[in-house]
Amino acid sequence: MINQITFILLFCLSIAVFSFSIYRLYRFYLLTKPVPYHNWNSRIATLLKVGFGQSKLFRLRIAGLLHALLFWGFLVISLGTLEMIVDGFTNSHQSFQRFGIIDDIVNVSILIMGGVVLLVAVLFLFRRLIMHIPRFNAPELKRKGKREAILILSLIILLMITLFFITSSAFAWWCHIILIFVFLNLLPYSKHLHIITAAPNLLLADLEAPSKMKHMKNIEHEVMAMLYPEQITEANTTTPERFGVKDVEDLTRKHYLDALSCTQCGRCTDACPANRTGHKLSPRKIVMDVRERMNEKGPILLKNGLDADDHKSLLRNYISEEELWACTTCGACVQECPVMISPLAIILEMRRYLVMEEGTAPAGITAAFANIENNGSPWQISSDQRTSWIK
Amino acid sequence: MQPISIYADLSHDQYPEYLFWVGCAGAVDLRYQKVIRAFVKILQHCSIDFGVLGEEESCNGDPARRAGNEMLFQMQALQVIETFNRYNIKQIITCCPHCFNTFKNEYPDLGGNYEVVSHVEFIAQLIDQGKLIVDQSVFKDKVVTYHDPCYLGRGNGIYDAPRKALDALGIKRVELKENRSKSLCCGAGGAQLFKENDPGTTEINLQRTEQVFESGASIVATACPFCMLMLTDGLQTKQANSETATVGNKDIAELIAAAL
Repeated sequence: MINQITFILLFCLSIAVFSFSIYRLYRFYLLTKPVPYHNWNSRIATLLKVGFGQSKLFRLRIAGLLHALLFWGFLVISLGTLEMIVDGFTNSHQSFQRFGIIDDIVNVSILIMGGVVLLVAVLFLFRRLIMHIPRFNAPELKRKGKREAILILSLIILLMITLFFITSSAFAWWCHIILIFVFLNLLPYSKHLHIITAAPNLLLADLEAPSKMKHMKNIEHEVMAMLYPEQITEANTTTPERFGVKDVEDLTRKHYLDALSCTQCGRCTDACPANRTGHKLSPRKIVMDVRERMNEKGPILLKNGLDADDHKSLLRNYISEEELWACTTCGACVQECPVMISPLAIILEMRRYLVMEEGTAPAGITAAFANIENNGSPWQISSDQRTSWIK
Repeated sequence: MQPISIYADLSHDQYPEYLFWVGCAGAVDLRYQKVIRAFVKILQHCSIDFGVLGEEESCNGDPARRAGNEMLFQMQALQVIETFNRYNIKQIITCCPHCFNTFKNEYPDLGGNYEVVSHVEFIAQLIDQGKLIVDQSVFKDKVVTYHDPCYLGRGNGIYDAPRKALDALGIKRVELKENRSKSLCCGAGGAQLFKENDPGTTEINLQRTEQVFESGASIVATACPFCMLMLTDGLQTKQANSETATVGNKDIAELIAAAL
C-alpha cells in the first residue's frame, strides 16, 4: 500500500514537472509563426522511414548502426517500462504475465535489447571520452553540451544495469523507475530533447525539393505595384510585417521545432563546405543559437508582449553577418541531418532580413544586385552579348 | 553551327518545341560559351526543334533570391515568366542547374508552370532513345570523374543521368571521394561567386580540386557553369607550378559533342 502511494505520488510529480517544462517550450513555440501542412500520407511515410527506420542515420555506417540499435532497443524496453507503471499503480508484480507467451517473448527481447543498449552506451561514452572525434570538440560546443552528453550516457548505463534486476530486486526496481523519472525531466532542458521532438519534426519536415526556397507572398504585392502600377487599384494599407528573420519571433514554428530537435551531433557542420575550409559558419551553431536565444527572449516576450525588446537579437548577438554570408546554399547540412532539420532555411531567412530590411550585403553581392537590375545579369554585360556565342 | 532560331524573329506558328535557356554564364564567360556551342551541336545533331531567347533572355533571379533579395528575384521572375508566356513556351532545356532549379521548383509559386529538363537529363534521354549514338573510340580508356553540382544532385536528385551520359562515352569512370548526395560543393552557389572572400584556412574549390587529383582522373566532368568556373580556377591554381597541366575539366556536353 505504502509502495503504491509512493509510486503514484512520484509518478504524478514527475509528469507534472515534465508537463510544466514542455508547456513552457510550447508557449515559446506559439510565439513563432504558424506554417500550413498538407500531404499527410507522405509525412507519415517520412516518419516511418527516417524516424523508425533511422534511414538518415545510416549515412554514417557505424555511428548510425549504433544509434539505431539504441533507438530500437529503447522502443522494446519501453514496453517493460509500461508494465512497471501498471505494476506501480496497481501494486502488482509483472502484471503483463497475463499475456502468457507474448509476455515471455517481450521479456526476453527486453533483456537482449537491454544488453545491446548497455553495450552501445558504453561505446558512445568511449567515443566521447577517449576517441578524438572533431565534431564533438568544435568551438560551438560549450562545456555544458559536452557534460550533458556524458551525463545522459551515464544515466542510460545505470538504467540498463538496474533493468536487469527489476524482477529480482525491489531496490533495483525503484532505482530504475526513479532514474526514468529523472531522465524524463532532464530532457526538456537538454540537447536530448530530440527523443521527444524528433518524431514531430520528421512528421512536419519539408517535403519539397531541398533546393527550393520558400515563396514570400507578402512581397508579391509590392513587386506587382512596382512592375504594374496601373493594375493596383487599392492602396495597401496594412502595416507590412518584417521581411525575413532578425530575431526568434520572426521564425516559423518549424524553424523553432528544428532547434528543439537538434541533438548537436554535428553531421551538418562536418559536411558544410564553408566550415571545412575554415570559414566562419557552422550550421549546427545556427540551430543551437535559435534555441538559446529563444530561452533568453521567450520569457521576455511572454511577460511583456510581442513588442518587447531587450536590445539584443538573434542576428549579431548570436549569429554574425559573416556567418550568414559564408553559406553556399549547397544543402549538405540539410542532406546530412538525421532528423531533417534545415539550418539553410534559417540562414536564408536571415539574409532576407539583412538585404530587404537593412539594405546591407557584401559589396560584391550589392554590385551583382545592381547588375541584375540594370543589365539583367549578375555580371556586367549588355544584352547584345547574350548572342555572342552564336557568332 | 547551323543557324539558330531566335524567338523574336519567329512568327507565331513557328515557335519551336523547346526553349533552350542559355543562362548568363553563356553570355559572359568565354570558356562557358564552348559548353553552350557543344550542347547546341548535340541538339542540332539530333534535329531537336529548339529556339533561344537571345537578347530577350534575362537573369531568372536565382542569385538575387539566394542572397536575400526576394524583391529583385520576384521582379526578374515575373518578367521572365511574361516573356515565356508571350512565346507560349511550355518546355525548357537548360545547362545551368541553378536556372533549372528556379524554373522547376520556384516559378510555379509565381504562376509559371513549365516542363523543365536539365541538359544532362536531355542527353541521357537522347542516348536512351537511340537518337544519340556516341562514338566510343574518342575518349576510350580515358579516366574521367564527375563532380555532382549541388543543385542537380542534392537539390533535385539527378545523379544517374550524368553518369549514364558519361558511361556512353566508353570511358573509365571513377568517383570522387565525396560523390552523389555527399558531393562537396564547388564553393560558388548562394551568390558566393559574386562575393569577396572572407578569411578561411583554404578555399572550397581548392579542396574539391584535391579530391579530383586523388581520384586519378585526367578529366573532371561537370554540368554547371558555376562548378566549371570554380574547378577551372582550382585546377589552374593547383597546377600553376607544374610543367604540364595533366587534369582538365569539361562539361558533359563538351565530351559528348566531341564524340559525335
